[in-house]
Amino acid sequence: MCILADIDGGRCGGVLNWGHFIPRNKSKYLKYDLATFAQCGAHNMMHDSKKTGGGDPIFSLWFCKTFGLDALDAISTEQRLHLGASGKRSVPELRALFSDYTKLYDNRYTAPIGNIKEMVLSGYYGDVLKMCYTKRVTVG
Amino acid sequence: MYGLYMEVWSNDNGSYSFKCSFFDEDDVSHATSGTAKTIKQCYELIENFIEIANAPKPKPTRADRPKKPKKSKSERKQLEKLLEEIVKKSFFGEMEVCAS
Repeated sequence: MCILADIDGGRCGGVLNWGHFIPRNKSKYLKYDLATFAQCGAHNMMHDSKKTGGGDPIFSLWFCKTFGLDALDAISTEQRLHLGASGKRSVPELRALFSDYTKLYDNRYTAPIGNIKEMVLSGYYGDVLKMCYTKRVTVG
Repeated sequence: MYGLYMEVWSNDNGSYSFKCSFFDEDDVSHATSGTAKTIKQCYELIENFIEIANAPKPKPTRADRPKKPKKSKSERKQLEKLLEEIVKKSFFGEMEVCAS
């Protein structure tokens, strides 16, 4: 189901896509981050299609409502820190990422599904959001 | 050509025998032996043998060339593919999708 169905279901359409909040062509570094969501084709087009120009704010609205403004700040900062060709993850980094994701996938049946905060802190929404939430917990 | 060895001798029945061996430029050894009715024939056979053995080698055809081992996909490509599969498979952000 498209993550935007609840707030903008009227515009849902097409098959489910691998929906990157930061489009892949805008950040090679975040391409394999877990801040990616199941998004219908119609919303994916509105968000980042080169054809349509993208730019519809609905995805950002959902992201902020779900994870908070500091999460938007964190992911945007991460994108800007890894701009350009040098922004790709190194092979050892990719290896580590795959190892982490395999563990998460293997533990999926015991994941705290439905509890966004716990899911983020467990790493199911990627390192950027996890760091952001950890900071929240630490700072209070 | 180097290390040429050649020997011709007469046999009791009036024929002649010969032996010949040498190394070519690629260090490959060539050797032959035989019998002929006359000494002249022996030398002709030896000459013929040397000529053939020293003839320029035909270039290996495409089929003869050793095949280059196929380049394996780089580790980066393989990892990227695996990551894409695992992320897509689970849509981690949407655990209800992966749990279903």
